Amino acid sequence: MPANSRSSEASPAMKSILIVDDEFDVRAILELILGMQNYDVVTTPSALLALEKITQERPALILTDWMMPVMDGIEFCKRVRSNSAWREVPIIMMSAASEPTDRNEGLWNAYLHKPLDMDDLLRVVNQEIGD
Amino acid sequence: MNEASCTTPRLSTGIAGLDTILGGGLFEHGMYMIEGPSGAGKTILSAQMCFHHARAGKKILYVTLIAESHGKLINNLRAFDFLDDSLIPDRLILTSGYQELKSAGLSGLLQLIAHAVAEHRPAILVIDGYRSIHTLTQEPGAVAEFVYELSTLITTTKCLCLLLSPRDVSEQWTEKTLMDGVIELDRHSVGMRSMRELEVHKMRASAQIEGRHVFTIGSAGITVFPRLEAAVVCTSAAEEDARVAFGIEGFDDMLSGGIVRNSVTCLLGPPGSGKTIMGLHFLNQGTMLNEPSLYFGFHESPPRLLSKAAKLNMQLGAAYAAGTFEIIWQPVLEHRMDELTSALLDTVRRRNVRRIVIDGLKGFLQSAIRPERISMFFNALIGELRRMQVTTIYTEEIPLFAGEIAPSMFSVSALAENIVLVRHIQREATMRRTIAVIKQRESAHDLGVREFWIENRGIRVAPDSGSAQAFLTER
Repeated sequence: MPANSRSSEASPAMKSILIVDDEFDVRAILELILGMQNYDVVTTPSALLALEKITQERPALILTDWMMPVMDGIEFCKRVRSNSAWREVPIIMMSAASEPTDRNEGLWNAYLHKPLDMDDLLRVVNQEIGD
Repeated sequence: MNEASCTTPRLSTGIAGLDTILGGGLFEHGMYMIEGPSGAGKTILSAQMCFHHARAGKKILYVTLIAESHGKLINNLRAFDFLDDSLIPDRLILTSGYQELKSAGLSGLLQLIAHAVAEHRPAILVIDGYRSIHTLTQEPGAVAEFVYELSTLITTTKCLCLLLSPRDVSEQWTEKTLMDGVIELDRHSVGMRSMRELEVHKMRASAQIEGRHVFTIGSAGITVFPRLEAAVVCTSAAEEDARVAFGIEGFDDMLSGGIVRNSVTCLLGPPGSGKTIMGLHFLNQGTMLNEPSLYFGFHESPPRLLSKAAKLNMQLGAAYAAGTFEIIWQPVLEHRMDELTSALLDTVRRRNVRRIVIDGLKGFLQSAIRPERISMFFNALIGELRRMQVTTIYTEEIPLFAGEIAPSMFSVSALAENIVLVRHIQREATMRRTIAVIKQRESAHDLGVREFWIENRGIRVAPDSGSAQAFLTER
């Protein structure tokens, strides 16, 4: 799958999810799983590219990895939260590491441990943006 | 990369012996390659595991990439008891991914698998005919990328994945580094015989039993026999001082009351010298003391053996009926050493056997396809019996009328703590028999050679060396 991709042709009713992860396999599988749930999934391999993406289109939800080169997930969250246009977008942080709760400061809404569990993923996503 | 580790629960294969070799089964979310030549048993192994779990209520997704129909696949499995049509398609879902792979490539196949996995949430995903992925993909690196994504999919959806592939072509596949385990099934000929062996080449975070292990395919499916010399636990049995008698008049005196409990005794003698009858005495004495006893032999069928015991006024028939005496009879045919031993040890465990006679070590030797294993194999078997607190007698044949004892195929003295030698001696027109204790573990014993007789009530040993001395020294 290409580094930047979109799961399907989005219809206006579909909520969009932006996935930010430097691991291509995680992007590919999240795109497949969330695409099957009728979300419009956009993926990108870096936080810098993700900032460009949300400038073009505000997603309903962001799923971001924590540990990424150049700009990590925490810095990315800070950038998103510092912009009034995106401040309210729910963010789910993902990492194989334990949640750094002392560094959250309202940056992310939920935290998922890697390797991800499909049931946990769908529950948390639905909790944030489900109908 | 998949994150299966020792903290991840394991899934039993449901295949006798295989979990032992794998160090406890496969990781629930692991990815494993099962490889081997055509006809080696890859599909049987995976189907057996699938039906085992389908019967327990789990869902299985079986994706075929070969151009073979599902009907043919199922028909080929009809020879096995584990096939249960009622589980198809509710528990065992068959899907062909071949057309999708051909038309939409690896991303199409991944999408098909992801949809099926998300819909059915299987505990096990099998991809049969994995080789097609390579034959239908030209792009370098694409297969490894696909496997990487598949690995993340199965971890995320919590299912175990088996990839079935021929081994001849898989040697060079780089994606094997992504597997949590690689299991090879092999079939080859040794002389006129055919032999199947299994080897776990890789098993992440596991203490698998390395090397090759024999397996068989029967109506129950695959049975794997962990190589005994590699599988036995290296612990010593509790030391015993108690004596175990044969119940043979005169002979127990030579042994200062009997052999040490849990010890191993080699009974050496030519054909017809009374080794089997001595063994029956030993077992009869055990059953009289309510010690579960086992005869394991190659030549005498149970009715023939019981009839022989009855003629000698032994009560083994009643003990056999009561279950304190068991006979395992294996006519000398094409057995496998590991299969024979597995039957023996299973019975010892099940019956809590305390006395055993292995009548005819030659039968074991003839079943050995790899003679280089014999010495270590018997060391392991005897060590295991000792650890299981069994007092063991094994008989070994020496040539008839040999002046000197021929060197054994392996060192009996290293295996046995006690050695008893019975012989025929021709004196003029009469055959005489003698018995001598060559060695007895940490015990005083009679060093004399005594004459013995086989009578209506079994064996009787002379009270001293007098008669043997007389005919052995007469000119």
